Amino acid sequence: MRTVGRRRAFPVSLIGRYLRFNLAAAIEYRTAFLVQVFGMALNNSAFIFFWLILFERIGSDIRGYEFSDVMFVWAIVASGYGLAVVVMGNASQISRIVYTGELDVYLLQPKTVLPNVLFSRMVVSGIGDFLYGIVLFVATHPVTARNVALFVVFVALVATLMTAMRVLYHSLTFFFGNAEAFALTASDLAVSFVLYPGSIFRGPAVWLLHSLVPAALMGYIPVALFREFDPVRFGLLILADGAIVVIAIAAFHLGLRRYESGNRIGTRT
Amino acid sequence: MKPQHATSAVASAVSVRSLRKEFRTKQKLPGLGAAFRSLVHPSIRTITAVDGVSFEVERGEILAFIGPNGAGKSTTIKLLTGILYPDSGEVRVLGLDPHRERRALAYRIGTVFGQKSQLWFHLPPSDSFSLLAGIYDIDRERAKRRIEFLTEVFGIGDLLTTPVRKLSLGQRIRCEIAASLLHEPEILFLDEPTIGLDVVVKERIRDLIRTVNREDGVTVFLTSHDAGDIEKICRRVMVVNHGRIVWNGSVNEMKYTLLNRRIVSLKLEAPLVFSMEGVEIVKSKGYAAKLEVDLTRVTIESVVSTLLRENKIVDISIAAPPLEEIIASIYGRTEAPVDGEQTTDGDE
Amino acid sequence: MAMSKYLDVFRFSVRDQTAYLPAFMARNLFFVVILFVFFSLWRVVFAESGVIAGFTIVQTLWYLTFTEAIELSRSSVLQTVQADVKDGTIAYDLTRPYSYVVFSLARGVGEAVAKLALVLVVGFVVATVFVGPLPGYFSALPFGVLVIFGGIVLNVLWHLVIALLAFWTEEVMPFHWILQKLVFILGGMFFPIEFFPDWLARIARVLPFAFSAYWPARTMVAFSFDGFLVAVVGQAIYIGVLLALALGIFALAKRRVHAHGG
Repeated sequence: MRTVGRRRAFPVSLIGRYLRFNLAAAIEYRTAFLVQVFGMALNNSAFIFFWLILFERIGSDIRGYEFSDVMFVWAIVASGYGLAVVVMGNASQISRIVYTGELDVYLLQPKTVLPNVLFSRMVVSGIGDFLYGIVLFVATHPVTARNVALFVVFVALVATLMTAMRVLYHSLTFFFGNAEAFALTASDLAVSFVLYPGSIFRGPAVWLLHSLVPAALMGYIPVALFREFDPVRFGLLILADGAIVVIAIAAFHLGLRRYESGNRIGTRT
Repeated sequence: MKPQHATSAVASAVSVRSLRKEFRTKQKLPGLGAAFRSLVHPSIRTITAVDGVSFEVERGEILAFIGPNGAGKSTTIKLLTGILYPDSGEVRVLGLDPHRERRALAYRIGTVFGQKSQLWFHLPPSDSFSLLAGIYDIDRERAKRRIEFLTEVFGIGDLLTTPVRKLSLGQRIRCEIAASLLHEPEILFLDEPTIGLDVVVKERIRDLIRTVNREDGVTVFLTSHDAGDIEKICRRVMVVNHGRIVWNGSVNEMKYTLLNRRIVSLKLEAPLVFSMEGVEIVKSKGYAAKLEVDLTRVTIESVVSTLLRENKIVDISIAAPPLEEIIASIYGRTEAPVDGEQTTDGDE
Repeated sequence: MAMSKYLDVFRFSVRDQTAYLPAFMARNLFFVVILFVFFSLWRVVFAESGVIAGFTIVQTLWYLTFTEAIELSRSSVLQTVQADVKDGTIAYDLTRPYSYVVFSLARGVGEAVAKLALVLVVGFVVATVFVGPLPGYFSALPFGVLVIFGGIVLNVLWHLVIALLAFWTEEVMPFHWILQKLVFILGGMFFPIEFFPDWLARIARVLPFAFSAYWPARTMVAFSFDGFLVAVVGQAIYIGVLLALALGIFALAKRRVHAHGG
């Protein structure tokens, strides 16, 4: 009989291992690593500039949104996105992993498939986003215990939700062939919506933003809670986030039954 | 935790009953209009990749699983390892149901699937090894000893610290096989382990596979296109075509009984004078000749005695045709089913 | 004739695009949604003041339709050339009887034009639904088409230059992001340069970035013949400069490839 460590479906220590390995692989290309991290931060600054000029030009708030509110959303979305892609960077690769048959590798390993897929890849430029969000938050809001606590909680929620959304969208590849283009666009859309003041939307769009394209859950509700905390609303937010996570996991597992393990070569789209 | 060999009551390493797997593929028609139409109303074609297959693999065996592209070998191997869900039939690998007990099985099997590497491309193999040790819950001390052992057996000492992207294909495959053995699996599944390698490296890989089988008692299940792999490593061979097993037996048996043909090579003192029902003169040039004997129509004994009577023979040898030819003829004998070619599992 | 082969490349590239239906639908969906977001935002902003820096909401939204259309129909030259450089297939292209730079330019422009044609139709419909027709659309169109095309050529050249940097650096995407953001902001992709503070507007107008977004869109929504001339001349100059730059970089890189033995 051989001695093995304790067998867990997916031990937390494995996340640490994956992070270390990815970082080691990224640092193989030191310059590219630094260029990516700083490139991302610079990238985001352009948008801040947009909002500065816009608020300057109109000289008032945008239907209740001040400059600092927009910056809070930017901060949690940037850090949340960064955290999501650094820790669970494979979420946006699921389509490719499925249609190229790379999923085989994960299915052959004795760990739960979805977390094993998600945690095994890091998008290095996400470090830039993550740090950027923190800097932006500190620069535009007073650093009090309450503010920091809420910031941390919302960053974690945004990261979870973004990953769940990507898992859900990309799982469509199991059912409809390569859904990569759709999934990338759908993920981009949610981010596009969340970066604008939620108050500008009216009518059916509001419903959409609370469900299929959950920009409200990522940005509008957190910013409202940040202005004025309401435990009931916060509870509802957690419930809604949880529901999306559950749906995403279910979609992935249903898809897994239909996995065909092809060896198709990904085509340029 | 259950002791490792509690399941040894189960005699076979692999047991498969009436296994079936179908794929449904969307037909792609050319043209923009067709592309739009197929969005609304896709035309779907069903392909039976594995069509009611049954077989057993004993513990400690080395088995070759061969067949042309798209015959269903990859699909079968994926069904055995828990990658694919079967449509019907029963699969037991080490007594486990591969897809229901996927994780439990994963601890006990090793796999090398050519183009789906376990090794991290930008990192040296030693890093991948220690990551895999984590994934397979092997404790540090044990992993260290195991890696040392495999390093020695596979002769990969100086490769361990080179990033995988800088290794040659042969070096990479050696590291891949070593990686797949890290957790001391009881069965090793190899999909085309020698494809694309040169002759010397192929020999080396075959040696390693034999060693692993002999020393560790690992059951080996391999797919290959290479007759050399089969002749040199395997005792038993299964030929699959159009999703069905068309031959299952020992390699020798296949060579000597499956094809009722023998090749008789002769060296003579004078040009050959010979003619007989059921014997074809393949080549006759000067003082050498080659005959092909059809054993269904004539016995080898009568052919040889006639030859000896009518000719002055310097040397004679009787052999089965080369394995590659036999395999090709097995493929040829099995007719394609009506629904056309089978391309879904895409072996290549 | 030497030009005709590049024209062929352009034509094939246009036709090739029709094969990417899912990507095409995704792109247009994104376009519609982003226009909806802009419409929602500017409707609120314009509710307070009817005209901003001389622009009405109708002009502003149409302006964004054009800048977004140019941005969304960018070619994949950046990815393909970068991949050619990284995996070394560019070495084979060096042996072929054409200029790799001009070949890639023709391919990229062909691809972008194919994408643009459809995006512009979608944009026309969507903008009309949101804010109504653009006054003077059809009289500005003949001039607008020319400078929109110029903007596209400029974008492809930028991507070509950036992609060729892959000879020296492993990762060129950050350069692309930086360029993209310069076009977003200084190029006036998110709002007309008139919205800037005066000092900045004066600088932004003459920078190359404005010629792939601001000038083409402005020609369409606030047409003046003088403005059109500025756009055309500016584009010609910057196209010349970038083409020379791309050819120069390529010549340098070629020497590098030969030095490394291909």
